[in-house]
Parts: sequence; structure tokens; C-alpha cells
Amino acid sequence: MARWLGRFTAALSTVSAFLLFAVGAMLTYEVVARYFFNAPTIWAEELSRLFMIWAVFVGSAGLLSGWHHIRVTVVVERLPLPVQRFFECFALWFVAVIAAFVAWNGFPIAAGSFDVGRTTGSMLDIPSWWMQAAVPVGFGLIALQAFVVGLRVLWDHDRPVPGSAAHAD
Amino acid sequence: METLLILLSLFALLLAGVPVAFALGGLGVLLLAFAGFSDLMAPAGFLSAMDNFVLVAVPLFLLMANVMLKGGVGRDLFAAVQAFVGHWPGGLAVATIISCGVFAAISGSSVATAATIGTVAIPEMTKRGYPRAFTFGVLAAGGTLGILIPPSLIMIIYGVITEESVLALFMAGVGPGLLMIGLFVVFSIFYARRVPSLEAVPRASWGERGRTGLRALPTVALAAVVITGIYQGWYTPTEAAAIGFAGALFVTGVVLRTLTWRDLYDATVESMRTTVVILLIVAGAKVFGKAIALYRIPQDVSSFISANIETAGLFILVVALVLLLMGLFMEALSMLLIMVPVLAGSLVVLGIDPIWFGVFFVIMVECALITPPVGLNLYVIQAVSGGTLLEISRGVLPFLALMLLTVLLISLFPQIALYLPFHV
Repeated sequence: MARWLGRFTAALSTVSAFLLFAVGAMLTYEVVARYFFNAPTIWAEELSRLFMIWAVFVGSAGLLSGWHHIRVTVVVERLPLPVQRFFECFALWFVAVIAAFVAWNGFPIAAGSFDVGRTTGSMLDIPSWWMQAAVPVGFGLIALQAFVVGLRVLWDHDRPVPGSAAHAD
Repeated sequence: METLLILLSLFALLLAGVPVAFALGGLGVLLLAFAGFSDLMAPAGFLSAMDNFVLVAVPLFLLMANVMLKGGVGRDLFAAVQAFVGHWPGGLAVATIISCGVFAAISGSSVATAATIGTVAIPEMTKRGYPRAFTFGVLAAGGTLGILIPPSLIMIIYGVITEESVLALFMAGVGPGLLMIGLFVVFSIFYARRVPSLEAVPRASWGERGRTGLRALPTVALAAVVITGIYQGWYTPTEAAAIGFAGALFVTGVVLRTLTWRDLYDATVESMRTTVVILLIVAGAKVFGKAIALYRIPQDVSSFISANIETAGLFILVVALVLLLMGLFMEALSMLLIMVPVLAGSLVVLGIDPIWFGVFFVIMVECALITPPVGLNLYVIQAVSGGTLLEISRGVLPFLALMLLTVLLISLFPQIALYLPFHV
């Protein structure tokens, strides 16, 4: 079960990568269409936001097991191993609880829009829940994955190796 | 009191090793819940933070830089710059700094800049007898130019949270960026004159210069197209990033023919990782920012500041000291996302230009990248070179002093930053 979830979230991260690649393609097309053919699209801007929202929220869960998310380890890594394990479990379950809360409350927002058929009111006018659903789906997966990885830290004593965190700076 | 308690809980969560995105977002969620605000605010906050076209530039600039990196343009770039300035005293150090500056115009990240140029330059410099500590210092500090010279991921995010123009921020980074390159270059030349062990590089022939220059030309041209286009208003920064990405594919895939399908896949996955990690922190910070605003913390801070700090100069000095201290143990993005929402209110009161403050903040954040024990660029150079953290930190010291000198200079002469965005 845990392994299946890990593979599933890792696969979703790969899908996220392709979504972001597609954003690059769409916006390049947009600039070319506008400048050279004087025919700007009505979809490129909005779809790229939609793709990015899904990529960020759904890509997150898969990055938990490798500890790719940036965190401050300067204190924790100096503690004895059992204490380290305690803090890692704490960190993961804190993530799980928060993510579950966000997912739980994000669901009615998307469901409400779906029920009344609310749209974004933009040029493309897509249904609002297309964007809103990314929050409950993404954070639901994060909650599950964080809970499971936390369990593994506690039971199997296999401390997730601190991964090479990605960075902005 | 409340302010202190909230900041202490945030630091406790961070030091306990909770991922930054969830420490910020989680504390925001808890604060909103305790104050009895609607539970829907948290998910709505996360979503609205990401529903932002300006932020779409983040994944695209990352894709551009990663494709260029995998396509091996670092080597070509360094070879070309070296052919022109390598025979100067300290020529390899000068070439390294200039290469970092040029790559910074392709990449919006300091880490990518330090890694790309470091892999090529460190072996060359050590081979020619440059002291190890100095070599590492040049690279760690040169890499930080990545976020000062446009494009810059940190500036995009600063622009989004303060609602300032990313274009103006980008342009404001050019002057201080060139100034810093100049200071680094002058220091390296003086330093090299005092180290007799340095082996001079023979002057390259014009044939050599032409050959290497031609190979680096597409890279430089791409950087020029992206930045000129933003400046001239041909396209928005986000679209510029898309053009840059397409251009990077063209340059490495068609012109230089160095990019394999495997490289492209790796570059895409790498960009996704960094994007997700960065933007989730931005989303968490948005929820945190909303929560502290409802607790009136920015207002409390700014009334505290206006009651106790009379001049803008003193304010900047205090903020600089706080950032220098925070930078010892925190990474750049978190510092930005925690401090800017708290301080933004005070800027208006003291009459500080928010664009200028953005540039100031970026340079302070650059210092954080090279101050131990936590400094991402130090780790990158450590990974690339195998040097010790102590050695690298020692080498970084003179450059840190030069960066603080840059801060002093832009404080005395704000036009260094503000001339380009507002007068040209």
C-alpha cells in the first residue's frame, strides 16, 4: 500500500513536469501568434495558470518521501538519532494534519462551484472547479503521503535520507 | 507580545525541521482557526496565491536555465570569456566572475549560476595555482549574482508579494549587479598581484578568441533577446521566460547540438522539483501573511518602528543587521517571505522606495547565501569542489565585505539602482 502510494505520487510529479513544459510551449505559441500573425489566443494565459496550479499542488506529494521540500536541518541533524527520528515524524505528521485540514475545507469550495455551475468569468470562461479541485486533490495526496512516510520513519526505522533539496536562491 | 509569540512559534517549527512551506502555511492555518475566521480561508488562500500569471515565469525561467545548463553552455561561456581576459593578472578569477555575470542573465537562481560556472572554473583555477580558499570564494560570491542580475526568481517573488512591477525590479538590479561585478574584478586583480604562485595564462590568439566567442555567441544572444524584450515591452516577463525556454531548446538542441533527449527530460524534472518546492512555500507564505495581517502584526511592527526609529537610514541599518543574523541559519526565500510582509508597511512611513528596497533585500539575501553555517552557495561549492566548509567560508569573507560595500553604496547613491527603471 505504502509503496503503491509512493509510486503513484512519484508518477504524478512526472505529470507535473510535463504540465510545466506544456506551459512553456503554450506561451511561446502565444507570443509568436500575437507578433507574427496578429492573432493572440484567448486560452494561453488562463490555461497556463490552470496547468501551473495543478502542477504545484499535485506535484508536491511525490517530493515528500525524498525530503525535497526545503527545511532547516541545522539543529535537528546535530541531535542523537532517536531524537532525530522523533522530529522527523513530528514534522511529517504536522504536514499531514495541516494538509488534511486544507483538503477537507477545500473540497466544499470546488463541490459548491460544481453544483451551481460557476465559471471563471474570464475570456475562456472555464468552470471554476477545474482550478479549485487542485487544492483538495493535491493536499489530500500530501496528507496521505506525509502520514505514510511518517509511519515508515517510526516503524521501519528507515530514516528518509535527507534529499538534495531544490532551491530558489 | 502576540507578535513575539507568533514569530517564536514560527522559528520553533522551522528549527524542528518542518518543511518551510508547511511551517508558514500551517502556522497561518492555525492562527486563522484560533481567531475564529472561516475555515475556507486557508484553501482559498493557497489557491489564490498560485492563480497568478506573474508566477508562471518561475517554472519557465527554471526550464530555460536548466536546459542551458544540461546543454553545457557553462563550458563554452567560460572558454570564451577566458580567451579575452585570461591573460590579465588574476585573469581566471576575472573570467570566472564575468562568466557568472553572463550566466546570471540566463538564470534567475544563484545556486544554478554557482554550480554551472563552478564545475568548469574551479579545476582551471586550482590547476593554475590559485589558492583554494580564494577560488571557492570567487565562485560562491560570483554565483550570488544570479539573483541580482535579471532574470531573478527572488525578484519575481518580491514583486508578487509587494505588488510592485517585476520589470522595474529587474531593471533596478542591473546597475548594482554591474557595480558588484566591477568590485569583485578589481579586488581579484589586486589580490592576484600579491600572490606570486599564480601561473599566468598566455594571451589567446584572435583566432582562438573568434572560435570560442562564436560558440558562446548564441548563449549571449539569447540572454540579450530575453532581457531586451522585457525592457522594450515586447512581452511580459512571463512570456519572456517562455521565449527564453524555447530559445534555450533551439540554442542547445539545434545550434550547438549538445542537448540529448535524456538531458531534456532531466532538465524538465529538475525544473518541476524546484518549481513545486518554491511555489508551495510562496503559497504557504500567502496564508501566513493573510493571518498575520488579520492579527494586525505588520501594523504593530510599523508603529513600533515609527515610534522608535526616526530615519530611513537607521531603519535600513537595523534591517540589514537583522537579515545578516537571520541569514546565518536561514535560506533566502524564507527570509524574503517572512520579513517582507512584516516590513512592507514601514516603507511607506519612512519614505523608502519599494523597488530600491527590493534590490537592497536581494543583496542582503545574497549575503545569506554565503554565510555559514547555512548558506546554499557554500554547499554547492562544497559539492562541486570537495573543499571544506571552513575553507570556503574563509574565502568568501572578502567578497562578503564587498557585497556589504555595495549595499552601502546603493544606500548613499540610490540612483545606482533606480536610474535605469525610472529615468531611461
